[in-house]
Amino acid sequence: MLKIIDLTTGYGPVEVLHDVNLDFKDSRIVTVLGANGAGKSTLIKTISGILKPWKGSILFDGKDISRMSTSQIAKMGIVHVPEGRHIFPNLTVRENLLLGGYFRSDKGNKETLDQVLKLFPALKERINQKGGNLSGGEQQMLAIARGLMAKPRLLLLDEPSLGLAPILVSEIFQTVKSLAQQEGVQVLLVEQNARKALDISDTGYVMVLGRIVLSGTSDELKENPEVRKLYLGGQNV
Amino acid sequence: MFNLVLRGLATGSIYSLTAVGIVLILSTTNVMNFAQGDTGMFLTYIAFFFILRGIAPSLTLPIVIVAGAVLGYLVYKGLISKAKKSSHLGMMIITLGLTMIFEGIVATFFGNIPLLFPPLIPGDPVHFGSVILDRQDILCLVTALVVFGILSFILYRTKIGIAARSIADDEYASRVLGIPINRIHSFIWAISFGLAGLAGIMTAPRLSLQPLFMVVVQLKAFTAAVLGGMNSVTGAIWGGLILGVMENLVAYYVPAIKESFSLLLIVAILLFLPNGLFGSREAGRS
Amino acid sequence: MKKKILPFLLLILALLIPLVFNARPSIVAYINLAIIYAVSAVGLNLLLGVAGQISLGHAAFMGIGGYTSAILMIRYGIPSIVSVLAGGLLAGLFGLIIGFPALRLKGFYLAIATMALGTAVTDVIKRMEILGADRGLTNVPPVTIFGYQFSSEFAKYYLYLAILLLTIFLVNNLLKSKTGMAFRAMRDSEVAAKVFGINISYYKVLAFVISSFLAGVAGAMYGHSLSYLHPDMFGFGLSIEFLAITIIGGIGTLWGPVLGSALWVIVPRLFGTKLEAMAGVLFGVVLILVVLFLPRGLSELIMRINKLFKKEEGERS
Repeated sequence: MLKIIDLTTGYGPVEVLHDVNLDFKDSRIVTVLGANGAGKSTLIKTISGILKPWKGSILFDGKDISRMSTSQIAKMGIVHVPEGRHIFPNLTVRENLLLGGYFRSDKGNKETLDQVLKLFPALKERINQKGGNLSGGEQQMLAIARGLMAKPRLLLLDEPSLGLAPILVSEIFQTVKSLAQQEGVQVLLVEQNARKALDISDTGYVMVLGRIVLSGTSDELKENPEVRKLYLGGQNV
Repeated sequence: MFNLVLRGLATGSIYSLTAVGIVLILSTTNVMNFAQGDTGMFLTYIAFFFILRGIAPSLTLPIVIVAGAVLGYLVYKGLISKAKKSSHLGMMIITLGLTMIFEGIVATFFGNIPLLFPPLIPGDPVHFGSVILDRQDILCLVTALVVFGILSFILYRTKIGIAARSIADDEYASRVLGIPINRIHSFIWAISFGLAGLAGIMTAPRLSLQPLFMVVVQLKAFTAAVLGGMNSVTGAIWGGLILGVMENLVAYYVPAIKESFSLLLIVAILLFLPNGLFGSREAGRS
Repeated sequence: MKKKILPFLLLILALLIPLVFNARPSIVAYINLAIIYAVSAVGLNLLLGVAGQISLGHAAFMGIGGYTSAILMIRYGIPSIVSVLAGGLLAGLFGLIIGFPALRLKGFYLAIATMALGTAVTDVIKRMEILGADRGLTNVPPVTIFGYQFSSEFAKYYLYLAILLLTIFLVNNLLKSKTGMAFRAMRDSEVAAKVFGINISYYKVLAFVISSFLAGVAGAMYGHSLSYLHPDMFGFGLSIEFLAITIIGGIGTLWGPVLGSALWVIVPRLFGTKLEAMAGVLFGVVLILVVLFLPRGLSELIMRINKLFKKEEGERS
């Protein structure tokens, strides 16, 4: 279980996150909402070890992971699916997937590959094609599937809906939801598509200019007038 | 004609070996390694040192590969990984510094006088019907074939090789997946320096051994790499072979331009075919 | 006032140097070589350090200048002043030609292209019978001005020193001019320079022309000084030497190339003949250290030490 305490970090001299606190408790899916530049991606990068914290701690199952390298963090079961997909365009779908489980045994990888392909049948058909030849939606599926190859206990999803058609977004969110419910993977979801994100998550946090300003269950957030005005377009839920 | 082509392939395979080293390092670590040739030169002198002490020439083959791998690992760990903050051009200049170090060491211990490096397998040329080939040429071709076979197995069939290709594709994504970038970089430097050593002892018996003997080969290797698109190992292999054959044919039919041929080719390709013949994607000339 | 005294003292010191080494013309010959290198390195520094364009073929321009000036004097009896300038101009013309690839190529690729073109120049010289092909050109006459032959090392010293100081004076003015500003803008950000309406193509080619011109003049001095020329003198190795000299001395600084050249020529002599090659190792190590820790080269180090002293003085008073 993930717990973040007083996390502060940034790039170069610029402080981006200020004393961020976040606690997964028993939630399956937690969403962090926020406008562009609020620091959501920075938060995810810091959890996965790409960015080092300046101050504060990140606990995973009570263990402080804030000084660990990305490899070590990934080995503990925290997997980061980056914004903009970042699949490997010149590698085949199979190679992309195998790299997701880089530090696992070949045998374990093979079993996981079969399981993952069951979840994403579209990828199975294109297993020997180059990643760069997939459509945008397929690439996002591949990015998530690649993350699953590491057998994560916590999946960090950064803007999975970015640049996708609404129907594909719904499909991906359904997949995420079933992952959390059936496979027991916890998911930290960072999204601009607040409505769909809140629909599938248990808990939500709202981030403004690098600070958490509001948190609560998804239902509470959906009812909150501020959230509705700023992130849900003021419409009825 | 057939003879010319075969010999061209033998020479070309040396270019390929060198070019592959350059491309591997460039595409995974983003360093344009101007020390690839001189690394080979340095390792060949190490082989020569052993030959002087009575080791059979053919046994220096494994010696240079291992010594090269160790040297590549050390150079990466001790220098390149510490210099990550430098610009790309800064890294390139560091490799030029390396050439000065290698040349200086060799000149101090062996002087600048050309030395005779024995052929790895002695004996008369072999006749295949009308085709006559030096044993050394055959060795070059066979070695290159074996090396490229092993290399493509590593790059396409092993986890570390696939990971190396993934770094070339998108280093950030590899990092996000928790792939140990540094370990794979040092692996690539080890392989590339091993290849440099091989290219060195394949070249030395054809020319003579002196501190600058690999400079021309490196230049040709750059041509081969550029021909192959600069980011593709397959391209570099083909680039080297094609260059070797073209050079031989040009030297035979148009001897007047034989020296400058590959030099002008390099510039022409850079200017007019920026992705080379095999470059799969935008090579990013910056 | 105090500011003007130091350069003046240095100038007097420079003028007295031959007297100090009166008994040893061979030492003055080394100093002369350092001066020739410095003129060429100032040119490369303008290209690399100020305009931000890499070249691994700088030595080839020296070759063009050297051969041109020599052949004009030997074959056509053209006065030195004209032949040396002509050497510079022809090198500049080749710089113009090589400047064009630079419009399309950047970084690594420009490095490879200039390396290839530089090597091509020496290959072509090797094929030209009129230039002595690969036997080289011997009996290159010394510089002669109004009948006076600059053949002794001491005479050469004053002439070359004058050329170097003139070069630095002109380059210093250039750096302060609009052109210098355009060069720097181009180096720092091509996009920004374009936004400010700077004609990138023009200035890139101009940087190549000026730097090649200076290399050509230095090459002419080189030939007249050594009295022989060979294509291999101007190969890839020398181009790398100049890159190292410029970077070690201090890229983008006015006096850095001079400092670099002086070290380059003089330090190996301190090692003695047996270990001379070890100087190459030392320079390689220094080059790497400079890239890693001293982006402005050794002249930055000197300035830092200077500042340190000044601070201490200030604290004392």
